[in-house]
Amino acid sequence: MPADAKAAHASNLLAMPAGHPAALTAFWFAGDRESAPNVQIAASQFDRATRQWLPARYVVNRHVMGEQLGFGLRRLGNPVAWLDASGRLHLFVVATGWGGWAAARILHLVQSSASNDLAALELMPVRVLPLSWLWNTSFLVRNAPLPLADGGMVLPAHFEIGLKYSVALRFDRAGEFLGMVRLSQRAHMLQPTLLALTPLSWVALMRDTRPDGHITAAQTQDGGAHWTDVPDLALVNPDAAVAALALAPQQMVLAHNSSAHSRDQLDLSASREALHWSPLQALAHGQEGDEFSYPAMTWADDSLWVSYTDQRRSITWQRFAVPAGVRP
Amino acid sequence: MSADVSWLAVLLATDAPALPAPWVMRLGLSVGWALVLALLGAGLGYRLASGKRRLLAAALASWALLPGPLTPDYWLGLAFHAPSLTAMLLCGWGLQRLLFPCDASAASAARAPASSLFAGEHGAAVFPGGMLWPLLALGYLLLLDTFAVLPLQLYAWGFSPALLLGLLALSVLPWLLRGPTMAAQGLPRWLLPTALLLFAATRLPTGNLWDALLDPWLWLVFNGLLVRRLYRQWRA
Repeated sequence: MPADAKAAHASNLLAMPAGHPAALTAFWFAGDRESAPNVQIAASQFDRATRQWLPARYVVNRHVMGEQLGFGLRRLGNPVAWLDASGRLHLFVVATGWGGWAAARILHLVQSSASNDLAALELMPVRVLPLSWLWNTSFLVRNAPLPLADGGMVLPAHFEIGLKYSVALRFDRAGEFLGMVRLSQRAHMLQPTLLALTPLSWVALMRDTRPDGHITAAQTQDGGAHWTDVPDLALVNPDAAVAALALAPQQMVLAHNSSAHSRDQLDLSASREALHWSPLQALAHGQEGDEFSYPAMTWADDSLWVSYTDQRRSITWQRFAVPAGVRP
Repeated sequence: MSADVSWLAVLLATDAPALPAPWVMRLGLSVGWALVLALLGAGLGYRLASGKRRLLAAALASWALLPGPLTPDYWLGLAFHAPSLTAMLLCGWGLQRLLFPCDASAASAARAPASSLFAGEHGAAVFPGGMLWPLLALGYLLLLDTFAVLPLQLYAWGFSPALLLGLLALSVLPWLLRGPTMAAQGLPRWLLPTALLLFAATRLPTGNLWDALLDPWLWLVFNGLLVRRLYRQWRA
């Protein structure tokens, strides 16, 4: 955590390429509290040589970005990182206009420094992604992109003013925006996380905003061109973010809050086909009122890395060499 | 044959948007809000002498063109991003009518508030029924599309080159059919084709054609004009 940060939330993990000094880079937002004026995007890297996290530093400041864009950003939120085909780092950050999270937009930043080592990393804004006609408001990112064979990726996102629906944004290998497809016809699902079962068959798992909700799902059989809703999973969802990762064919893991009405239990589950899950590992179990939420996962250096928000005060991480029951 | 199919696919595609360069977006945002603020200043200052009125409009426009957070476009951009090209052209046209009237009747009209540009006689000139209704309907459809209420993804069509070519052809059709007599009617004859050509050249404000044609504020103004027109008809 940066020294002056009292709160942290919404971490995202990015596996770094072999040969990079760091195994992975973590991004999250930190400040006095969620949606505080002083919230910035913080980052740290897990150094391969020392096997330690480097001291965190801020890499995105809303005032600096506003000056470069030519218009202001009211608040910063969830960051999501990606490396393009040339190894250049892209960061997608929730940035609000006039209003709360419902007035958010997705700000696309790209590495402007020669190196993406933490000490050298600099980012510059590309643009706010053009996603809606209504002053381009209310689209947010949360979960990691799904990498594609052509070097491009699909970035899951959602709309959340009033109706809540999920979308998939496609980018080419250089990080150029290619378009948006809706994931679902239902209007109570957000923060999708994507799993590829085959190159063309994917599943999206989503947070459910309904009371007594379950993790919701949609699937595509044509590489994301068309999506259909499928029945909710058996797993309950207390209106909380989930994160999924495919480690290998038929080897998938899901980090999710497993209590029906609170975020005090965070667990890891495993599946072979993304729609039926079995418990694998407890990540954090606390007392009533505790919060362990917004998990993120990635695979790096033969390990599964999981990070999550711990009581809204810090980001906690865990590393599993090979999770029990999973053969990557 | 395959080359033809590939050409057609590119034309109809919505998944290869040409987006404006960052510096072009920034310039478009400042110029757009400069035009809007200048028109507002010129309209609200209709009691001023023409010299002072021009000065007020120029001062407001210059303020918006300055860089940094102490300028209005920085905050207007935060809330509303950039105006549409249609709105920018309307503002430019309005400024010309208000600040540099070309004849006696125009000079008389220029003494009226800016809102009168879009009402009565002038309203009839600016928004003949053929133009107001499609833009109003388009706004409602785009609003519904934003909330994913429509079965199709209308906003994505705004990235299609085919839509640009189709609308461009449609917008010049009255011109081609009626010839130069349309010239007497002022703005409508060139507004849409110019906005579309400007979009083709700059991709402003976002790279999406719908954003270039109509922004939510302009659509709200059109709704206001419609309500006023209906009210006047009802009173008459």
